Amino acid sequence: MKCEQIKELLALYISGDLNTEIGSAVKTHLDECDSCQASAHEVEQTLDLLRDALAATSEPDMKLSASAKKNIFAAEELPVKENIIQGWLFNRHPWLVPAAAAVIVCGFVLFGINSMKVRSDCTMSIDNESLRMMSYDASEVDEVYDVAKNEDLYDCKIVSSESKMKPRCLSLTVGDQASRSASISDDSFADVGVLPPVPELVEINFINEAQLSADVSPKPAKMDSVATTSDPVKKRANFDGRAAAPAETAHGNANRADGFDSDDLDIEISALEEAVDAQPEMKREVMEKHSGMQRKVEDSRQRPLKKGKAVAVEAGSGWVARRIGAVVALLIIFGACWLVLAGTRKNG
Amino acid sequence: MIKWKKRENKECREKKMEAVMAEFESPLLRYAARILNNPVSAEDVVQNVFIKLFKVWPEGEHPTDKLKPWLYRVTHNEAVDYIRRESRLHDLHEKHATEEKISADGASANDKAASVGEKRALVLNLLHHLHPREQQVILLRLEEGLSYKEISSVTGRSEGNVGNILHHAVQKLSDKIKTGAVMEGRAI
Repeated sequence: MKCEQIKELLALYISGDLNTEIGSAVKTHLDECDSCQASAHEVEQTLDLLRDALAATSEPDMKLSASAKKNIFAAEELPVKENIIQGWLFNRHPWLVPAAAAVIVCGFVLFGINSMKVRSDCTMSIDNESLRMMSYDASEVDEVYDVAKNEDLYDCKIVSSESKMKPRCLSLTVGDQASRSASISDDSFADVGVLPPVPELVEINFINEAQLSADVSPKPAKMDSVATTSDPVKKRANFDGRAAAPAETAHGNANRADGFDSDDLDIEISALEEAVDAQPEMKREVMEKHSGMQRKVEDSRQRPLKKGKAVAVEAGSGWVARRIGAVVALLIIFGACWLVLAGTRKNG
Repeated sequence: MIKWKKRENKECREKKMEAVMAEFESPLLRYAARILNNPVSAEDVVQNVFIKLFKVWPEGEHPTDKLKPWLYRVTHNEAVDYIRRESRLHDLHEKHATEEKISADGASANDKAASVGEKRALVLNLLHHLHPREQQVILLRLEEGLSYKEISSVTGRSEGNVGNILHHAVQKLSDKIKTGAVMEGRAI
């Protein structure tokens, strides 16, 4: 053992508080080391002096006075003088403090998780004329907005304010006819997770049934499944902003009084044919993405754009785990607070 | 019937309390007086300790091994609180106590005895200027004769830590005594 280690043990050695093994090691070192021996002598003198001073000034039989004893026994009879709120809280409802602490902490845990979850969500809803996107991540919305604006396919409008507390909403409505036709070969929306809107498909469907059953045959079968409406002509009329025209009427009568013009239809057909011929592979790819997204859109149509609902649907088993975790945390916090309070009161 | 039973319980508790007080009042008063350097204040502190014990002692319970460390712990906490509350008064008492001790020793004895009295006064004065934690360990070990295990239980520290505190406290006292002796020009 080194001298520094020995010096740290001297007080214990001299007061006889070291065990035999370490004590003999210290003794052996002291026999050989003059410096440590001198230190031991000093410590021994100090301890002797302390013991002597304490013993000389100590009063061996100190007693409490009769009045003090009386006060002690009388204290039980007296009402406890303490703060009313403190007494109500700690004596009558001792569970309230830990319970409140646990509830506050768990509230933070639960709402914090929910808030984070919702903020990371991007919700989209789509109908036949417009797409509505809602996200707490403004950059996500802006990205889609920029793409839509650059492509000039849609009338774009940011609906919400810049407030970070509210979701940022983007509304895309269908643009003019020529733009819609061109978008069939555009998959940039698929890249950012936004659908080319349904009107494209409905138009093709209509053409297929009315005029081009042979020419537009390369169209993937999915197109039919995507265009779920049973009345494609009605949809087309909606997109064009015109009055509805039944399919059979349009097929047979090119110059109707209600404004349906077969020349317009021819132009549309040519444009579509060109688009289909130009990039059939890309079109198929877009359509496949489209069909997958369409299912999600159908799901989103069935659920309202409410935070809680969206979270519940998205969360799955994680939701249950988080709730169980929160309950366990609540119990632990409650127990810990209880122990701390009990310990504090017990130790005065 | 209920009233009678309640009264019997109360009498029983008071008997137990009296037994505990008879056993511990002297060492607790001594310990508190050392920490406070004032026997009168020590009585106030110990009185509060027993009142607390009376309140927290469950009915029908008998004293256990934990009682002794609990009493010393609460006494120490009460004494330290008292010092904080009455810090000015405490300083005053301390000054008077030291002066009285030194003058009494010096007036009543020959040179050799006066020297011993001064030594004692000096070492007690130095002891009172140690940190309350160090005073606690020294007093419990050297004056009250508690084992390391008991001191560990009182302070809530490990036995190794208690030993370490004792070593540093004694070393500090030793250095200060040596410095004091050199300043006074003679060996203590």
